[in-house]
Order: sequence, then C-alpha cells, then structure tokens
Amino acid sequence: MEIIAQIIINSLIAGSVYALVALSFNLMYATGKFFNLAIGGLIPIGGYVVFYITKHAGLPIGFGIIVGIIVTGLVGLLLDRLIYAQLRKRHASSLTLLIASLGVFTALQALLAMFFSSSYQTLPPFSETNYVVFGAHITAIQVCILVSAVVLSFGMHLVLRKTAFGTAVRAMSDDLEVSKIIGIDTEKIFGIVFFIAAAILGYLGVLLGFDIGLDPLMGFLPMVAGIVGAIVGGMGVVLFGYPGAIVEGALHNTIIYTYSAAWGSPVTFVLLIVFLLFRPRGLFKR
Amino acid sequence: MTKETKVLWVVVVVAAVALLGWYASTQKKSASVTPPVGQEQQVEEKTPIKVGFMHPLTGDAASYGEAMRNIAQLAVEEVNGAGGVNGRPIELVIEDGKCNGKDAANAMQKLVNVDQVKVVIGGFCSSESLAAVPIAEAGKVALFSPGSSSPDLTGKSMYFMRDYPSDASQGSVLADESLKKGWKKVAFVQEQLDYPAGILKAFSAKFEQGGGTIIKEEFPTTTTDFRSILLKLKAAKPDALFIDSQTPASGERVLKQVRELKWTIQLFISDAFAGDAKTVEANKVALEGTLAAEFGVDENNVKFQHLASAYKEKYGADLPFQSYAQTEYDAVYMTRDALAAVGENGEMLSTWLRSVSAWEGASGSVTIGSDGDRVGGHTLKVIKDGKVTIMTE
Repeated sequence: MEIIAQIIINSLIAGSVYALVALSFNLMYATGKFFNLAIGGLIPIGGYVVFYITKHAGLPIGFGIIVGIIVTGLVGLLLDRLIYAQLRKRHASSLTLLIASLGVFTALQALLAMFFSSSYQTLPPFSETNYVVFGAHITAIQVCILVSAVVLSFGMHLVLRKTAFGTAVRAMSDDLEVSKIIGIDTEKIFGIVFFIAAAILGYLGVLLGFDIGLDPLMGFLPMVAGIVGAIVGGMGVVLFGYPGAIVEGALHNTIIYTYSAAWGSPVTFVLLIVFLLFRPRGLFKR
Repeated sequence: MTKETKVLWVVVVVAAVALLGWYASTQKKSASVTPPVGQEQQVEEKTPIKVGFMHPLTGDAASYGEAMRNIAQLAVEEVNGAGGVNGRPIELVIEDGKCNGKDAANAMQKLVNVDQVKVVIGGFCSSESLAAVPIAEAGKVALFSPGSSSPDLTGKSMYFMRDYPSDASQGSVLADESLKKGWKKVAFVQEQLDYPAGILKAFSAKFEQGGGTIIKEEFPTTTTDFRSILLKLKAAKPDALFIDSQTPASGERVLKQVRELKWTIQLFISDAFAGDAKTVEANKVALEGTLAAEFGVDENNVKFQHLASAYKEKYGADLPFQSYAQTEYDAVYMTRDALAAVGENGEMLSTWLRSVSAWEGASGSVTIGSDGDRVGGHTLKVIKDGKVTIMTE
C-alpha cells in the first residue's frame, strides 16, 4: 500500500514539475504560436540567482528567491524585446523563431556554465521537514512544488478567463492579425506574457535547485518533458497543461517502477508520438 | 529596429563586455607551461615537447577533471623548472574528454592528428580511455591513464597503460566484505558508464560466486529523479545498497533521495565518490558507516607530502581526490622519464611505460605489468564522522 502511495507521490512531484513548464510553454505558444526552446535556459537562472545571492552575497534565502523570480522574468522580457519582437516584425515564420530560441538556450546555458562552472552545485537546505502521507515520504520543498503547480496552473487559467489581459491573450491566440486590427497592443501583451512565463520558469528553477541541486543543463529534461505534457493535454491551452503533465508523470514513474529505469524516457516519447499521430489536439475536448 | 530597441542592444552589449572583463580579472592566472625568458636561454631555445592531456573539464566529472589538470600543470612546471626533458620543456596540450566516449574520441583525434603528440596523459574516466584506445593504436600514440580503473582496460592494447589499479580489486574487496558480513542481497543503483559498470561486474563476479544475489537499476548520467528507482530497490529488501556513481555529484543526488525516502540501509559508494573529501564531509550524517574501497595513500611518502604542500601553496586549497592526485602527479614524471629515455616515439614510449618496475613516486612503488595495469590494489575503507578511514577489525 505504501508503495502505491509513494508511486503516486513520485508521479505527482514529477508531473508538477512538468506542469509548470507546460504552463509557461502554453502561455507563450498560445499568444504567438511560438515553440520556445529557451525554456531550458531560463529555468536554471532562477536557481543560480538564489545560489549567488545566498552563497556569494550572504543575503537571506527569501530575498534571493524573489530576486531570482524577477530576474528570470526580466531575462525573458529582454529576450522578447531584443530578439523575438524583432523577428516578429520581420514576419518570421514559427520555424525561424524556434531556431532562434534554440540559439538562445545554448547561449544561456553556456553563460551559466562560464559564471558558475559546469559542476553540480547545491543550495542551502530549504527545510529539514519530511512528511509521511499514507506511508509515502515527501519533503517540504516537494510539497511546495505540488501546491505551486496546481495554484499557478489554475490561477493562470482564471486570469485568462476573467481579466482584460487574459481576454487579450485569448484574442491573440485566436487570430493575431485581427487582434491588432481591433486595437490590442499585441507587443505589450507579448512582453507581459514573456515576463510571466519566464518568471514561472525561474520559480521552477528555484524549486528544483532546492530539491535536486543546480547545474547549467538542468533545464533540458524538464523542458522536453513539460512540452510533451503540454502536447498530451492540448497544446496552447493553459488549463490542459496540468492534467497532461500529471498523466505523463504517472506513466513515467509507473513504467520505471514496473520495468526498469531505462524504460522511463522511451515510453514518454512513445506517448508523445502516439498523441501526435492519433490525437494531436490533446487529451481533452477544447 | 526602433530607437528604443537599439538603445537596449547597446546597453546589453556594454554590460556583457563589462561582465566579461570583470570575470576575466577575477580568474587566477592558470599555470604558464612554457618557461620564462631567462630559463629559455638556459634551455638553449630548444622546442617544447608536446604532451597530450585529456580529462573531463566540463560536466559533473569536472570536479575531478579540473583538479587533475591543476596537478598535472603543477608537475609540468616542476619538471620544466628542473630542466625539462634533456633541456626541452614539456608543453601540455589540454583537451576536454567530458567523461564520455564520444567527446573523448573527438579530443583524442585532435591530439593525435592535429597536435601530433606522441603520448597522451588520459583519459581519466574509463569511458574516455576505452574510446581513445583505438585512436591511440591507429596513431601509434602512447595512452597513459592516471585514473581509469575499468577492468575492461586490462591488456586492451600495447599502447595503453595505467598507473592506477583495475577495479577488479575494488569489486572483489567489497564483495569479500559483504560475504563476510553474511549479506545475501546487494542492490546496485548504477550510472550507465564504463567505470560504474566495471565495479558492478567485478563485485557481482565475486559475490555471486559466494552465493549472493545482486539486483540492479541502471540510470543515465542526466537522471535527477531517482525516487521510483530507489522505491523499487527498497521494496526488494536488500541487505545493502551500492551507490555506484561515476562522480560525487550524481552519488550525492542519489544519496539525498535515499534519505528522503527515510531508507536506512548499509551503503557502499564508489571510490570516485569516496575520494571527494568535501562531498563526503558535507554528507557525513548520511554516510556514517558507509563502506568503500580506495587505492590507498601513504601520508608518510615524501613525494606525496611535497605534492600536497605544493598544491596548497599554488592553488590555496587542500589536495583533492588524493588517491588519484598521487597517480596523476606520478604520471607526468613517468612520462618525462620515458621521453628522456626513448624520445618522441609512441611505440617505444608505450613499451617503456609498460615495463616500469619499482619506480618510486608519490603513490609509492609503481610497477606496471605486461597487461598495462598497475600492480597493486584497493583497500577496504569505512566512513566515520565524515572521514574515509581504513577499516580496522
């Protein structure tokens, strides 16, 4: 019994990490049909800022976390203004944007390795508390991950439904040209979306930094898994990112437990291919 | 581009240049490997001898790759200061093997074909050496490893030799101890690289022969989520868990998650993990009572003491990964002796190095057998209060 509980907890933890990436990905994809691979480079920034602030500047962790989130958000915004906005102006295709974002990912990861070395680093411990749920173990930071994924995913969904900003995003997602025509300041909305999407990734980087530790390539696997989760749920729909990611996390962990660790990743990718071939719109009805 | 965007770009570029300048100024100057002007005249303007160096300088294994590079540079400086090889200074050509076969093969190709070296000190990770051996053979270049311990390298090629012993002994020492303790089932969480795989093979050969059983789960280096793997092994109720990692970093990640599962069990760790004094100390509570087998260090060895103090003076830190540090240091000196004896000929260098007998170094008396392996073995150690100590029983 406690084994099943632990597998469920493990699936939720993994799924929540993917869900945060999926949320960020869906936001950016919904507004600009932009498949942003810089996600992998943005995630570590949050963690490394906390690392720098706590270990080099000796300032409190809480302050470091807030700065980490904001800095990553600003980097996301900067990347939009400097690179993606320019490409959009030249009516660049989605493919061009994707390739540019791949370049950004490589550059970000290399910069982090330059400044912080490519060795694995750890953050000061977040908390020693360890909870037991139906016989399964979960740490305080992992609880944070679970709660954050739910709160941010559904919170963002509500924002999209209930606020003017959200309406603008949904309009742009439907048709970018018409949105411009009816007077939506699309560039401003892009800026806000990129800031928020990057801030979420920075926050994820902080959480992962506390849970697992830091290294410049730490964003790559969560990015890929998160994008798969977004596709499984329904690409571009913020609400579906969470369930899609949880399904993926559950499958991944169940396969690892039942067969072996080596099968986890291949099965996830088989899942992706199956969905792309047979149900590209995702699990849920739109 | 709007004016606002142009301004933003200028700010970013200026900031980047400033950051790079600040970064460069904070870096310690790395060891200069060619002798200063005065000495050059002493050396009669002879051209330097290029010696290849291939170790993992990036990635998880960089923690020991960079340390080994520092040691090698220290040794080369000493050698050159004492006149080099018959008056010619040694110049290290440094390449990054990244602790995997593919990148090591590329690095070795460059060293052999572009830099045209006749001897390479490396690889460090067994995966690097295994991939580099065919290239060494094709190019008739001596490949001398100070740290690769996979049993698969024994007798691999006349061009490969190592002053570090094979893990056949690490595996059997630990298996013997397990059988002695009456353990029936040992679980392995093994990183998918040659060195960890070699340890598992050596351990299981001895252990299964003695009636024990092994259960294992392999993981690729990039894995950070071990929870379900560990859950599975835990459910099988083994007597001990072997954290068979390539690096201290991946070992630490596994260890942390073992603790989070509140799994108290006898642990084994690989000697790459045990050799990292800092990480062992940082995890002292979790590692109390953990067993490992290391290639021993003799703290009374005069050359070893010299190495430790010279390292501290030059780099401001205690000598890291001591059992590998000593062989790395010796490897440079042995290479110098080989070059002095037979010159820049890969085949003759290989023969010379493979016939080394009772060569006195920081790692003790070095004898390399006809199979290319260092004669000698691993000693059983136990971790007490954050320190790796010899098992006394």
